Amino acid sequence: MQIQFSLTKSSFKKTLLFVSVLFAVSGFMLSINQAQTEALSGSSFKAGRIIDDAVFTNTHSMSASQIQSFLNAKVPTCDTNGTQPSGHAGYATRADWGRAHGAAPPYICLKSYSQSVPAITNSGSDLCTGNISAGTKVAAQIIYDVSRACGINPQVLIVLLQKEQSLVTDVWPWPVQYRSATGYGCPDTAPCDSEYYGFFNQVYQAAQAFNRYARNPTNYNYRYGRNNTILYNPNTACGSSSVFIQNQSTASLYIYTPYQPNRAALNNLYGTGDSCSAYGNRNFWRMFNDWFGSPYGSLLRTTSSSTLYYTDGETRYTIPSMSIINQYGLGLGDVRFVSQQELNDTPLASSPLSTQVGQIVKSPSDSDSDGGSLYLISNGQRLPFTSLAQLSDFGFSTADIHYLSLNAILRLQQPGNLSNFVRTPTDGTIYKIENGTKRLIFSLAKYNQLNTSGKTSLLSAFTLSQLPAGSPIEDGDYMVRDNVGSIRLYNGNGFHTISSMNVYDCWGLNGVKLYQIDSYQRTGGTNSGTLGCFGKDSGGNVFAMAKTRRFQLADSQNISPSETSDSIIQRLPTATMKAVIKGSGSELAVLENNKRRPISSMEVFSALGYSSTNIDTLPQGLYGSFSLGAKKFAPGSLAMSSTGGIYVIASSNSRLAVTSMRQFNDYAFGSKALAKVTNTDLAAYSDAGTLANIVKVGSDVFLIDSGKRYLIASGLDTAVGINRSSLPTIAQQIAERTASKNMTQFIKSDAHNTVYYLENGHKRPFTSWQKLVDMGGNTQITTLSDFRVQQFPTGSSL
Amino acid sequence: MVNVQRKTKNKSFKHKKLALLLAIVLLSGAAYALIVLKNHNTAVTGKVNYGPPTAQEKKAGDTVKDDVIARQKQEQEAQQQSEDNASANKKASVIITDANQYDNTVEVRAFIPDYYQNGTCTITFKKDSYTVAKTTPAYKDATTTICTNPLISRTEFATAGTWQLTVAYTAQGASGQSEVKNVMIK
Repeated sequence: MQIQFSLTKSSFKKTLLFVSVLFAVSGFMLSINQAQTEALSGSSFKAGRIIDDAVFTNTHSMSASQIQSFLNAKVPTCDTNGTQPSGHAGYATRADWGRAHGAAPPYICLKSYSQSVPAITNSGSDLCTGNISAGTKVAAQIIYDVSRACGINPQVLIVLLQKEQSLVTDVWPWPVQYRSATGYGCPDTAPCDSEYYGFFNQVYQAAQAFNRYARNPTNYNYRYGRNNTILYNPNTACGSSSVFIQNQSTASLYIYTPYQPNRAALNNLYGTGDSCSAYGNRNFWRMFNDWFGSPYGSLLRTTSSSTLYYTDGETRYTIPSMSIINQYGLGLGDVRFVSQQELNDTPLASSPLSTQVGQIVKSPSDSDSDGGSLYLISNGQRLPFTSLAQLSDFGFSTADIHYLSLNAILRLQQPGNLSNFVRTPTDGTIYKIENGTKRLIFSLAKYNQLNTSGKTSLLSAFTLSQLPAGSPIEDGDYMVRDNVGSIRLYNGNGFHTISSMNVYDCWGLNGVKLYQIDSYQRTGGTNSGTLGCFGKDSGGNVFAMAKTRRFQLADSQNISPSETSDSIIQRLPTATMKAVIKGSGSELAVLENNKRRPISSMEVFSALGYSSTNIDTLPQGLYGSFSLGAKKFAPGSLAMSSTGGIYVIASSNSRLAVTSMRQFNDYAFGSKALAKVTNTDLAAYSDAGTLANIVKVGSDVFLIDSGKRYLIASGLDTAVGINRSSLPTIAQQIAERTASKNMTQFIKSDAHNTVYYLENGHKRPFTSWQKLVDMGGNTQITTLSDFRVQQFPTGSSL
Repeated sequence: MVNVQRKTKNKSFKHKKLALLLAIVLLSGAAYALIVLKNHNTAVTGKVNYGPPTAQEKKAGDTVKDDVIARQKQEQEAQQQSEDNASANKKASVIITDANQYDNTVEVRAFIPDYYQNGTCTITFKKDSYTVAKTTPAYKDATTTICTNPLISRTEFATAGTWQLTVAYTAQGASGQSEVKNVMIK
C-alpha cells in the first residue's frame, strides 16, 4: 500500500505564508539585534580614558599568524594594478590617478608588504627592552616583533596604522603611506621629518615613543592623574577643555596626537564633524572598538574561573567584592576574559604591595611623587586623609591600609583632601563624620556654622553605608518626619516616637523645628520609645504635659512617663492642677493616684463642694492618658449596684447598705440622685455595714423615721434605750434630706391613738389621758411611724 | 457558468496580491538587514573582528589619498616658502596644557602644535615686582614640539598668590608665545 503525503493547495499557501513571514521577521530581528549589540555611540567616548593600560600593554592579544589573518581579512582583494575606477573626473582608473600624483602601480597591500628589517638590540634601554632580529619580514611579523620588543599591544599598532594612513584596509596604498605609516615625525601643520621615513622605522618609533612617554611621565605635555587642557583642533581658536586623564596609555595617545574630538566629531562617529573637529583619537577609539572590542580591561578573569583580578597593567590584585572595585570606578563592563597564560604573565601583587585592593590605600613608598599620601577610594576618586585622626573618624585604622602601585592610585582623580563633611552624588544630605559615625546635618545654617571651609567630599553610597548613623547635629529641640509621615522628637540622646496628634498636642510641639527626611535610618541615636503625655526629667520629677503648661505629679503610679530631656520638659511652664479636671467632653473627674475618677453627677459635684472655678480643662490627649478609675461620690450619694443593691456613700472611701425601701424612705432618699455603679465603682468604697435608723451625726444622736430626723437629747438616752457611744456615726449629708425634729419621751404611732411613755428602752402605754396630762406629756408627743413604735418592746401600762 | 468564471478570476487576483505582499515583506526584511549590517562586520572570533571591511573602511583608502596629496602640496609649498623666505620668522603657537603647584614643585607643560623644530622654551612667572624665569629645551616629538617641564621648586617663588605665566618658544625660523595663564602658588 502506498502512503501518499500531499499538501492541499490551501495548506500549502498557509505554510508558504508562515515561512515567509517568519523569514522576514527573523531578518528584521537579526538586524535589530546586530544593530543593538554592535553599534558604537559617540556618547560612550571618554576623553580621559581612551584605552586602559592593561589593554594597551597586552602583548599576548594576537600572534603573528593571527595578525596576518586579520590583514588578509581586511583586504580580500588588492587592486595591485589600480584597475578600479578612480572616482576622479578625467582619470578613468586608480592607476591613472596615482600616476598623476607620483604613485604609479603596482600597489602593495599591507597584507603582502615586506621589507628588510635591521637587528635591534635593546638590552638595558629604558625604551623598548626587547630585541628584534634582522631579516626580510612581512608587515604582520614586523607588527608582532615590535609589539613584543616594546611591550605594546599589536592591536594598538594595527589601529595606529589605520588611523594614520588607512593602511589596513587600503586596496591600493601608495608608497608615501608606508613612508609615514604611523604618522611619526609628521606634524599636522608642517612637513614630515625624513629621519623617520619607512614602515618599520615608523612602527618602531611609534612603539618606542609610547614607552618613552610612560617611563618619563613628567617630561611631556600631558600627564595622567592630572587635569590637562586639551585642544579640539590645531587651530587654537577652536578652543579646548580640561580633561582628567586617568591612565598613562591615554596620556600617551594625547602626547602622540594632542587633540580630543569635539561634540560634532562624536555626533557623527563614522563621518566628519565641523571645521573644528579633529579625528585622530576618536578614530583610534572607534576602530579599536570595531575590530578588537572594548579598549577597557582593567578587570581580568579566565573563562574557567570566576576569580576576578584588578590590574594596573603590570600587576594584578585580588578583589574582595564588586562593591569595593566599584569604588575604583570599575564594574562588570571593565571585565576582560584572558587566557590562563595571559593571567600568569601579569604577576600577582606581592610585598611591599598588598595582594588585594581595598578602600584605604597607599603606595609602598613615602617618597613617591604623591608624597606617600593615604587615601580613601570612593566614588571613583582618591581622597587623601589629612591625619590619622581623620582615618579614625571614618571608622578605619592603619590595619585597613592596602598598598597599591602608584600607577593604580594616580589613575583616580583627586578632587581635594578628604573632608569630614560628606555627601553622596545623588543625595544632597550632608553628614559630618565623627568617631566612626555619620551625623546628619539638617540645616544649611548649621552646616555653614560648622564647616567654615565650605568643602564637602563626595562619597559613594556604599562608603557612606559602612558608617553607622550617629545622632544628628542640631541645636535645641527638633523633630523629624519621614516619608510615611511618622514624627519623632529628639531628646538629647535619641528619638521618641510621637504616636498621635494628641501627644503632639500635649507637648505643645508647634513651634519646635520639624525636619523632613526620607528615612530614620539616617538619624542614629537611641530609640527612646513612644512618647505619651507624661514626662520625667533628669531629677526624676514626673510631669503631666498640657500643651501650654505642665503639672508636676506626686509620683508615677498608674502612668508611664517618658524619660526625656529637661529642655523639652521645661519648654512648658509649671502650673498647679485644679481639683477637678475635664477633657474635650463633658465628663468631670478628680485625680486620685493618677487615675481619673469621674464625678457621677452635678449633685455629687456640688456635694463635693466644687464649683466651676475648680475645673481645669486639659488637652484631651492628656486627659485621656489618665486611666479611668472608679466613679467619685460624695458622702450621702446614693449608688445602685448591678444586682440592685442600694448603698449610701458613707465617707470618701466607705459605703453603707440601705436595708429596705422603708429605710430608703425614712431617710428621704427618694429625692436624691441614684447612680448606677459597676462593681469596680463599688469596690472603691469599702463595705461599712448597713445603715441604721438611730445614728450619730457629729455629736448629735438622731432617730430617723419617715423622712424626719428626731434629735435625741442626751437625757433621753436611757429612756430610748441607747448607748450613745456605741451608735454608728453617719455623715451629715446622709440625713440632710430629713426634716429636723426633737425626740420626746412620749411617743405614739401614726396609725393608732395610744400614747406611750419611753422608759429604759420600752414603751409603757398610757391607760388614761389624765395620767398623760399628770406626767406633762400631752403637749410633747412625738408621732412616729407605726413600724418604728413597734420597734420598742412594750412595758407595763401607766 | 458566468459566476464560476468570475469567482475564478477573483481568486486568481487575490493570489497574486498575496504573493506580491509576501514578496514585499521578504524584500523589506532583507533590505533592512543589509542596510543595518552594512557598517557592521560579522565573523567576530573572540574579540577580534576577522570580517571583511565595511564600506566605510574600504572608502578610507580612497579618502586618505586626498590627505596624502594635500600633505604633499603642503610640503612643497613649505619647501618653497623656506627657500624664498629663508630669514623670515614664522609665528608659532604655544599651548599650555597644565601649570600647577604639586606639593613643593611647580610644573609647566606646554607644546607647539604648528612648528616642528627643536628650540628653546622660556617659562616666565611674574607677580608684582617678582619674576621667576626658566629656560628649557624644546624638542621634536612624534607630531608636535614639546617644551621640557621646568619643575620649579616652590622656594623660588618669593610669595604665595596668583602669578602670571607665559611660555615663549624660539627656534630657527619661528617663535611664539602662549596666552597669559594665572597660576595659584600656595
